[in-house]
Amino acid sequence: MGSIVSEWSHFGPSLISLISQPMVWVYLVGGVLLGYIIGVIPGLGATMGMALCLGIIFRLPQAQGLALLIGILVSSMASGGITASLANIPGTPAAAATVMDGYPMAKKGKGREACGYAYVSSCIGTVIAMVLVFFIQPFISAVALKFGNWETFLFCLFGVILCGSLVGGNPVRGWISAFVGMFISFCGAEQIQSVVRYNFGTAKLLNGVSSTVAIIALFGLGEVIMTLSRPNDVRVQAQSGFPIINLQVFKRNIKNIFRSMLAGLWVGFIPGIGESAACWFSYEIARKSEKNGKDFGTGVPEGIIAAEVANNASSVGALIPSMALGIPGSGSTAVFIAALFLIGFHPGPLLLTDSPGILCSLTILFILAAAIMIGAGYLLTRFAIKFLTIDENVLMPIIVIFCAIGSYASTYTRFSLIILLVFGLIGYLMKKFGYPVPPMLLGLLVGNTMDSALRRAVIQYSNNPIEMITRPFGIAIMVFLVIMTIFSIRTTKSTKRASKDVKKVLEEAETSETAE
Amino acid sequence: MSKLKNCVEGIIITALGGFFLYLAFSVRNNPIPYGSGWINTVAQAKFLPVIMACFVTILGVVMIILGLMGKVTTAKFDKGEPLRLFIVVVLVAAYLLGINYFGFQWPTIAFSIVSAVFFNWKKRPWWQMLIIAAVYIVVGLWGLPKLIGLRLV
Repeated sequence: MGSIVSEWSHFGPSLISLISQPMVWVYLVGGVLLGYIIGVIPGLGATMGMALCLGIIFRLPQAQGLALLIGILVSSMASGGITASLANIPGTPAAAATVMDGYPMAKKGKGREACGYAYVSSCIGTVIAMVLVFFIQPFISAVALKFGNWETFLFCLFGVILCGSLVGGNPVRGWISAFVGMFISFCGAEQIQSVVRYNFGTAKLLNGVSSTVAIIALFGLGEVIMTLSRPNDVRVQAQSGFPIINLQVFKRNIKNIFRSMLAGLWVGFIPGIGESAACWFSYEIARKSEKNGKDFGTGVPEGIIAAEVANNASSVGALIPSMALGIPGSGSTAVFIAALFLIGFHPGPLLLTDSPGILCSLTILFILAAAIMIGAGYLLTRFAIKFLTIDENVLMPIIVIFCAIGSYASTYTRFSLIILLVFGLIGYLMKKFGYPVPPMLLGLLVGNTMDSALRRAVIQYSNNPIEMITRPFGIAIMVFLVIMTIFSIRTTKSTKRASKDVKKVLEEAETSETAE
Repeated sequence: MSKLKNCVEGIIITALGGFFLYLAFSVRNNPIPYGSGWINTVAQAKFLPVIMACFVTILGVVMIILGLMGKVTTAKFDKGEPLRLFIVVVLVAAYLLGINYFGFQWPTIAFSIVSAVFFNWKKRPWWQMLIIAAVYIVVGLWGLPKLIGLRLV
């Protein structure tokens, strides 16, 4: 209990330390502005934005690196809903449900209100969820400290299998993606007896494949190749202006906000589902619970608030397993974990012990980023459509240059550019043929941990393997993981059903409107 | 015929699994054994790679079966996409391999000019293409590296 309270006691010193550093503010504001643009432009998004910045974050002091990362994460999630409302194009997959009410509201001539509801709800979702995580996290980390090698192995295994089965449309493709990622992660000298595994005779692969380079390639270069090989001449026509924020509507929706926040937090907590499912899950709950549920899809603020609060709360909720166990809850947190490793933190059960005050720093930066986003969103939404019309043929080549510099900066070897090319092509092929990228990334990140944990556990219990399997804590985790698996499958099913139901209702409404 | 085409994806995955199995089995045994029996087998550095390779192979076979049953469909290329993809891949590969051999400066300049012209051909006037290329070069060679304290040139 003492260690839990001691984590919270760092709040004051962390707050003073962070707000007194001007460069932290510079990177936080820079991250928010960059994240806003990334979130508004379809096809980019939080994961790609953070992946591209890994090469920069690696060179920064810890606090500044965290500020940049969190700025991008918070604002790109929040701004995705703005283009969803104004132009019927979700800036990020997490904003897909926002389209349902945001766009009809904009069609009624209330686009500025829709933008206001979208991004302010996102900021509210981030702040409330982060405060909740601040109080929950130390307890979960205290439990995670009891994990031995066997339990770590089990958790990694379930995480990868769950992620593979739930992300994307086809579980078989998801599992292939996850297992290929794990196989690649084993490359190089292993940690127990330094046996070299398939390095193709080159010393450059003795340390294995750099996960940073792989992330930049899979999310950055893969997307660039995908976009440039399929020219998109979509021309957006919409008008925007300064958003209108009606506080009365938020006051009326306090129950909706809390319900959506909890729904988002829950979906985020389950490894592998992600923010795009959270918005549908929450939207459906709100549609069934709110008095004006039948009006959902016609441009009601309740729908926008439910979707936007949930997707941001989900990205915060995904931090719980990421920080406590080192297992990412979503694609964006997978990149977040990789970035934490790069700047010197070690996400996992010992994170809070080894880096006292990290939870407070994260909480403060998330809240500050959300506050800055409220101001930045107000000023920038006027130009949102301008960002949306940036020609991909102009934007994408410079991302190739950024990917090359980022990869080189994170490893200082030109060999990383070869890895970048190979993984960029793999990323393109995966996107093209419907193989989800997050399971591969998860496999890459946890593969080695899982391998070492299993082998250490087996060696540790070599005299009595039954004792290893029947460890009360291990059994408890297995039961917990089975329950989690059932819950997450049910959540995913209901989410998919919800998105289908909502689209069906909207199509019917549109057909009857046309007939009239 | 279309079902057979759908099987190609499964066949490629199975072949990939086979290649992984070959790589996994080529990993040498631990220099220090842990007794004998299954403990030593599981503690080998090649154990999990072999298991993962087996999973990939099995899932490849599952993909073949699903393809034959018509339950999975493989994405197709749009008209003109393969040629454009080929050019994009060649351009990116030439740039990245160029950096590997000649450093950042000249490959970045060449890539910036070629990509600004190729992707905007007949869509923008020549002076706009020049400005775009100049922006790529300035941001790529000086702007971003200066921001992160990296010397490329």
